[in-house]
This record gives sequence, structure tokens and C-alpha cells, in this order.
Amino acid sequence: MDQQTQDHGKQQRRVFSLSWVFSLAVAALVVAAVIGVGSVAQQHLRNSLHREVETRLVLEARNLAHVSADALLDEFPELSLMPMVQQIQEDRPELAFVVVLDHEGRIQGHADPRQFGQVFVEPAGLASVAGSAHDGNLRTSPDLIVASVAVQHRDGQELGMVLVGLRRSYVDDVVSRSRKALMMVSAILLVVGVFGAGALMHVMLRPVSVLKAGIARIGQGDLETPMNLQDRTELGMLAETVDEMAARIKASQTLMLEKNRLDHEMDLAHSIQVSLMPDRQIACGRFAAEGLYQAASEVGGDYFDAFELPGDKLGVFMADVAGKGLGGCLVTSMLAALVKARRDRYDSPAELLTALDRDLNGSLSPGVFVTAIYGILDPDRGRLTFASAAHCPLLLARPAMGVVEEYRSEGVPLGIIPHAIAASSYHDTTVLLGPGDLALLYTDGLTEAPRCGDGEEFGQARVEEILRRANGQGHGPVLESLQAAVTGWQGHESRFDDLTLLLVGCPGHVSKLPETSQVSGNAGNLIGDLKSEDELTQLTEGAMHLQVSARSGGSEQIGDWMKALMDASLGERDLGLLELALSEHINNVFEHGYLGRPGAEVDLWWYPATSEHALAGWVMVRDRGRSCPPASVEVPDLENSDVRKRGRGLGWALIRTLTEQLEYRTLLNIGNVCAIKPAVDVRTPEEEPLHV
Amino acid sequence: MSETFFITDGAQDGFTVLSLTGRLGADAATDLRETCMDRIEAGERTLVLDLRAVPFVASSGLGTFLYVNEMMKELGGRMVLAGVQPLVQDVLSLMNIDRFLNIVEDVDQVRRELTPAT
Repeated sequence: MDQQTQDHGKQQRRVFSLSWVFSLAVAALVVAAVIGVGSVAQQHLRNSLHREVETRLVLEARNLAHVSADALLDEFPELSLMPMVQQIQEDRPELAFVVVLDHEGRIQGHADPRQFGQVFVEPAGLASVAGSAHDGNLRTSPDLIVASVAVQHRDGQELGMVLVGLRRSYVDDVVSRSRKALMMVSAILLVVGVFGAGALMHVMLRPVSVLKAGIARIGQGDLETPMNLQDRTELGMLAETVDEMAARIKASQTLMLEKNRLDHEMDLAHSIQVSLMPDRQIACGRFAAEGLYQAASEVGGDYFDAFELPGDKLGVFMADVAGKGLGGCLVTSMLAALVKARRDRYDSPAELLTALDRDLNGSLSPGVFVTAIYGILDPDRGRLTFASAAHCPLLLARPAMGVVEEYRSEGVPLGIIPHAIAASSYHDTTVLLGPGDLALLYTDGLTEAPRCGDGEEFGQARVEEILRRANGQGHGPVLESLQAAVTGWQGHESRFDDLTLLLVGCPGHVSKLPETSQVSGNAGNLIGDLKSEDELTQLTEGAMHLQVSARSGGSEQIGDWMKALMDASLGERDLGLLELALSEHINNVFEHGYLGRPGAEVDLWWYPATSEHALAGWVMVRDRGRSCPPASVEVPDLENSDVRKRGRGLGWALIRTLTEQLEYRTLLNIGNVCAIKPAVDVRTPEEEPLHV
Repeated sequence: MSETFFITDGAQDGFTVLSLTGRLGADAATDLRETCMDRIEAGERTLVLDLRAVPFVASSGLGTFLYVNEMMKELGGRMVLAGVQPLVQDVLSLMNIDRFLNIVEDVDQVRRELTPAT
């Protein structure tokens, strides 16, 4: 409605042509100038003419007085003066009268001979002209201008008077003629000026119409037709500016359209990407997987999925494509399709990653690569087997023990190096997921999120701290805690990278550990009351410490350590048997507690028998793997030949045989602790020493 | 100090002696089992394991002894342990498995038993 009113008002408003306005204005100025100049010129001309006429009249009178002096001395002055005056009157008809008077005032020279000798009577109404240059010689009346000059002898004697009268009408005629000529010239100038101004304005303002048409075209949306106005005035510059402005608007319009198109495509790509990822919890037996995806300000290259696999297993996959925007999204979509097509064919995550690397090799643009991690959960056995292609470490939180295990990737990214080399870098790793344990898969958008202000990264330590406190919270709250922590860390800054998280585990709170405590012999309760790492540190103060790594060859390392200790309370045989018992226990921990995890570590403390410690003569072993107490497996019945043929389970039996007392406990926030009192001079069942 | 385990395969008159050197842990036990199976599959029915240079045998090594011994018995052959070191002998006795194994003082004793009396 308002728009219509505006349009209506626009139509009603009268428009005046700029050229007409300018032409009229210039014409008016010309008229005023001509009239003004004409008036002044006329006045000036009139005055000049008057002065000229008066001067000439006076000069004429003087001249006549000069030539009349001798004549008046003659006996008959009229004989020379009369013809002379008649001649003057004939030559100058504008003169009203010319008279030469003698000293008595009688006429001696006149055009009319009948006036001779008469007394000259001056015309009435003559008055002197005030301020005239000829003051005293010149008098005027409404009809006449009269110059009177005395005729003097050479000796100064006054002989008579000459009077010359000029009709004022003559002067008026001359002034009138001059005025007419001036008016004629002014009129011509006026006409020329008006038409000239009109023509000049028309020529000068012609670009305005071009500008008007050009701007109207721009207003109608035509930004491509330039005005191309060849004009060197400011209007030409204005037209160029408008052309440039139109070109810029056109360029901006093109960019804006392109951006709108890209935004639309980005929105579409984002929708596709989000649709690839599950938006609900995927349950499998007593386990479940749940993920979270929060997109960055642009479409990113993160992707995760959780799906059921044949054999009632659960598959979890996560990938981060290096490169954002549509390119990254396309690779993500391709990857999702490949995983979907291949996941049922492989029981080994490493084999699936190998297959994906083969698929992607040669298909990615230079500089584009993919990090990925794939895991298969066997819910019946609580085993999560996974392989990683240079992806962020898998973090396994065991809230019951207050520990978070880190499993770093040893594989290379997918699709970036020759397939044969890449394939050999992917290996399966298996971890056990107990009640409350949570495995976190994530992308670097979590740990590398920069803090608002100083840019400090969120870091893995903060993630681990949140996971450590996650006991019994369930998947959703843990994901929300992580997301809230990162969002708070980043403040108001927009996300620079996707935030992608995937939790796998068996929800539930663990307030009491499984009953794994074992006490054999008369061990009693030496370590069962330990509540924290600090209390363990206090208990092990003064003891000799050794940390054994799964990669360092456990039993040999223990043997060397024990020989170096050389505890006098144990003979060489007893030391050898203790070394064997410890080796068996630690091997069991690495094999069954840590499931062969390469970075696994075990702590040993030796309390010398000579010390006054309550554990003097004991060895204590601590690990953070799955609980595996030495008495949890039955002693093999070696009477059975089939059992002997299997040759398994002897390690547990060895430990029990070679230890006098043993206390094994799984402790919250500490891990599995096994205190061993070695048997001294242990003998065969027949109580007979075998060797001396 | 890291010790390396290796096996020297030596054929004698009518039997094979596998001379073992080093600590018989989990990895070494696997190697020993494979070597023994290779000899059994090759037709050997008397296998002597010379343990003079083996100071340490873990449970996996004990399991290998029992496994190879049972295999040989089923095939009508026998496995003999020779030169068993005191600590290893203690372990065999403490576990009460020496009663299932043929243990002799040294390899020569096997050779003497297999050589017909003249």
C-alpha cells in the first residue's frame, strides 16, 4: 500500500526539464544584463551627447565672436556678418537662431535681414546651467540651449555679443535616435543571448538525458549496458562513475548469487552429512554406542557410524577427512558408502581399513587424506577389537579404577601413501570393556579446540579428567559433559572444526568391584584397605621399584633386577623360583589382563627381608588391566593325558606352588595389586629335598 | 641383559638331539614346539632335548615338554630330557610332572641305551 502511494506521488509530481530551467534562467539573466547595460549606456550616452552639443555650441559661438570682432569695427558690419550668419543657419538648420549684437545690443548679424538694427530680445525662460563646464556662457530653457560669448577687441574692449541658440528638440532627436540604435543592438543581443543560452544549455545538458536514461536502466535491473558518455565535463565523469558503480553492483550481485548458491549447496551437503550419522543410541546386548556430531561454521569432513554386524556384534567407525567444504563432504559420503558396502565382509578392523585404503588410494586429490578408526565389539566377551589409521587415540576410561588408558594409532592415514606400505601399518588391538568402562572415539575438533582469547588447545588431559569422573553417568550425560566443556572453553568464538564423539561401553555405575580378592596362606589383609594412589605410594616407600613394560621382555628384566638386589634372605634357588613365579604372574597380566596391549606396564616393589616394613620379604605387583587373580583358573589335572597334551594352565599352578602367601585385590582408583611372599626352601610333595 | 634362545638340531645314530640354549620362555616355547613338530613330521621317533644350557623354563616351556612327550607316546616314540639344570629339575619336581617325562643325566646315556650290547 505504501509502495503504491509512493508510486502514485511519484507520478503526480511535476518534472521540469533541467535544460529548460537552465535556458530560462540564462535568458532571464541575459535580459536583465542587456536591459541594465542598455539603461546605463543610454543615460551615459545622453549625458555625453548633451555635453558634446553644449561644447560645440559654445565653440561655435566663440568662433563666431572671434571672426565678428573685426567686422563690428567696420563701418557696416552687417555686410559681412549677415551673410556669414545666414550661411551658418543654412549649414546648421538645428540652430534656432544665430545673432551677432553690437555693444548696444542691436542686431548686427542675423539670418533674417529684417532684424538688422533691432534690439535683440532673448527668448523667455533662459537660465544658467549649474555645474556646467561652460558656466556663464550657457543658458537653457525647456526649448532652447543658448550659448552667449562676448566679442572682444584685441585690447580687451568688449565690442558686442554673439548668441547661438540650439533647439532642444534637436538634442532630443539625436538622443532618441541613439536610444533606438542602442535598443536595436540590445534587442539583437538579447535575442542572440537567449537563443545562444538555450542552444548552449541544450548542448551542455544533453548528457543529463543520457545519464537519466542510464540510471533508469540501472533502476530496472540492467547493469550490463554502459552509458559510454563521451563528455569531458563533470557530467561525463559522473556517467563514468555511474558506469563503474553499475559494474561493481553487477560484480557484487554475481558474487552474492554465487554465495547464495554455495550456501544452499553447503546446507544441502551438511544435511546429507548429518543424515549419514546415527542420531540415536545403538544397543548391542548389554553394550551400547552413542555419538555426537556438532558441525563447524562450514561443512566439515568428520563422520561416524555405529551399526550392528553379523554375529550380534557392534561396529563403530569414525573418520576425519583432511579438507573441509564440499570436497571434504564428498569424500566423507564416499567413505560412508564404502564402509557400508564392506563392513559385513571383514571380521578384522585392520582388514577393513586395508580395504578402504585400497579403495581410496588414487581417488583422493593431492593433499587430501583420511584418518579413521574402526572397532568391532563382541558383547558376549566384552572385547572391543579396533584398528586405527592415524586417528586420534582411543581413550578407554575405567572409572572404577580411576584410570584412562590411551591407545595411540600406529597406522598411517588412508589413501596417502602406497597401499602396500599402508596395509602393513594397520593392526588390530583388543581391549576388554568391563562394567562402567567407556571407550571414546573422537576427532581432533575435541582436543585441539582453541580457547577464546589465547588460543590454548583443550587438550587430551581435560578429556581424560571428564572421562575419569564419568562413573555411572551413561553415554548421553558424558557426551553432554564433553560438549559443554569444549563449548565453554571456546567461549563465543565460532567452531573452527567439527566436534565428533562416539562412546562405546556398558552403561552402569561401578561402586563395588567384582569379588576378585584372593588370599592364600596366612596373608590376611595387608593391602585390602588401600584407597588411593597416595596410600599406595606411602605403602611402597622404601621399597625397591621396577616398572616392567610389555615390550621389554618381562621375565628377563625381572631376573636381572632380582640378581641385582641379592637379598641375603633368599638363596639362589629361592630367587630363581621367585623369579619364575613373578614372571608367570606378569605374563598372565600382559596376556589376559592387558590382552597383549603393547604399551602396558606393570609396577613391582621389593621389600627387603632385612627391612622393618610390614611387607618385609614380600614382592608387590600392580597393574591396571583386567582383573585376573592367580587362583581364578583351576589347577590342570595332569593325570589326564588330554590335559597334558594341551599343555595349558601350568602358570597359575606354578604361582601357587612357588608362593608361601599371596594376597590379590582389585582396588578402586589403584588397579590390581598382588602381594607375594615367596616360598623359601620349598620342597616336593614328598617333603624330600631334591637337591642339596 | 637380554638372552637369546636358539635351537641346534643335531642328528645322532638313531635319534635326534635338539640342543637348546637360553631361557625357555613363552616365545622360545613356541619355537621349540614348532621345531619338534617338524622333526616328528619328518619321521623322527626319538627326540632328545639337551637342556644343559637352559637355566630357566617357564610354564609355557613345561607345557611344551608335556605336549611333545604325549605326541611322541601316541606315535610310539619317546622324548627325552637330558642335562636338566637343578633349578629346572626343581620346577619339574615341584609341579610333579617329572613323573610323566623321560629325564636322563646326559645325551650319552641315551646313546648307550640305544646301542645294542655286544
